[in-house]
Amino acid sequence: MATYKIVVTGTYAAGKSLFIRNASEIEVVETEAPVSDPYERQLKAYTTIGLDFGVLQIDKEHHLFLFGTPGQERFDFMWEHLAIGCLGYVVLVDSCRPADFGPTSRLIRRFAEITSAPFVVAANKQDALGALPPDYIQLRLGLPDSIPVLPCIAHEMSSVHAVLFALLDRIEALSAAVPEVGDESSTH
Amino acid sequence: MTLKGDLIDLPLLDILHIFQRDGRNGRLSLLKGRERAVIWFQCGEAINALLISDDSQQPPRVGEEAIFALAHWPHGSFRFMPLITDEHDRITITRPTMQLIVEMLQQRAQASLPHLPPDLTMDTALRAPLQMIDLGTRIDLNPMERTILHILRQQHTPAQIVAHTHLTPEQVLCAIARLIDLGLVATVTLADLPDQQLVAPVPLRTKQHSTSKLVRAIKRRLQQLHAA
Ligand SMILES: Nc1nc2c(ncn2[C@@H]2O[C@H](COP(=O)(O)OP(=O)(O)OP(=O)(O)O)[C@@H](O)[C@H]2O)c(=O)[nH]1
Ligand SMILES: [Mg+2]
Repeated sequence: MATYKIVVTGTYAAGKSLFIRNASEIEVVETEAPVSDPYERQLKAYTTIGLDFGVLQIDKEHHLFLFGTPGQERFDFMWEHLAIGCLGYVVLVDSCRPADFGPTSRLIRRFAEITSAPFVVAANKQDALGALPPDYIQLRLGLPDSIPVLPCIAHEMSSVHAVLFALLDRIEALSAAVPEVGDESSTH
Repeated sequence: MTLKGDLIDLPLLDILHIFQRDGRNGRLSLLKGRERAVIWFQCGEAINALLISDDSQQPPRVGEEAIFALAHWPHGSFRFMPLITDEHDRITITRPTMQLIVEMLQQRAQASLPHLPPDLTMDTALRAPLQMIDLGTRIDLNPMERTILHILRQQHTPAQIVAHTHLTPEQVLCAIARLIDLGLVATVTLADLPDQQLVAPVPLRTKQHSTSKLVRAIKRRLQQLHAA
């Protein structure tokens, strides 16, 4: 059984819990036998303190875990633990709260220091009547053109999936740039 | 859900610009100390504005006068309440909002003595968003500023601009400082993110799935879920 992880981060109330809920197959989490490796302990600890995680069963052999980083600062120490070894991560930002743009920028910088994994930024709550447009948020976050900000509505599964798709595209594109050790398919 | 924050994070000029672009309907309330203001928007146009102060010496201001006074607030909290139904507001502003924006920019351009922002160096990455370039063509800029604004359609540093043009570093920095003051150019603060994004995450290399196989498998699963 192989497991992979994707992390969903963002400042307080950005929509991380909702995003994970709509991205994952909740039933699988509850019915699936526990995964037997270090992940099991990690998951247990995670749910015990009431933090978000979700699962996508890729196929019989492979699981994708989705972890939400804790919103409260007292759990900041977990960021590093979560980020290490992740396939990629999603940074959510609340499109209605310009005061969060500065902290989000700092969060992006910190994550990029912790992990080299690819990421996408999603401007959440785009359905809210007050939401600022993604291109303006990109500017305010100080992001380069190469990192676009995607529109997101965490309430809608299709929107959450679109963000994950964009992240997967990025993971694929960036991994293609480096030869993978022992990867049989990279030689074609 | 409403849009709320402080003008420090979202300047009034940006608010007007975004609302105009998106055709917003609603009421923007602003508060700074003993002063309160409301601007009403209809289809993105600011159609009415009122600025009042608790200070009895200050007469209330309405319409454009209120908007131009608000443009000078350096800070102040705001809250935007969208209105879904057409509320019939009194119309005190008849000029198009875009015209007000351009005038505000022009006033600022005349008033601003560029001071170098402390974090502006020869290696600061800068960019002018497209809509700002468009605005820039409608206000008074000198040819040097105009050239630089044009170059900054794409991300560049002052050092790169000096290399591309016959301008001196002083000229370039002064022009950029003014363009930043005007809000036409922004610094790309995250341009220097560690350049590790080109490296695949470590555990991937040891798993039996190749990255692209894995990515395709996850995508397939998402599509199945989506179809279900
Ligand atoms: N309108 C709208 N509301 C949203 C959206 N996403 C999240 N919300 C709301 O925003 C609030 C916070 O969402 P959560 O998912 O709890 O956010 P969080 O990031 O997990 O919050 P913390 O764990 O406390 O940091 C909730 O009231 C959500 O219903 C969205 O796309 N649109
Ligand atoms: Mg949460």
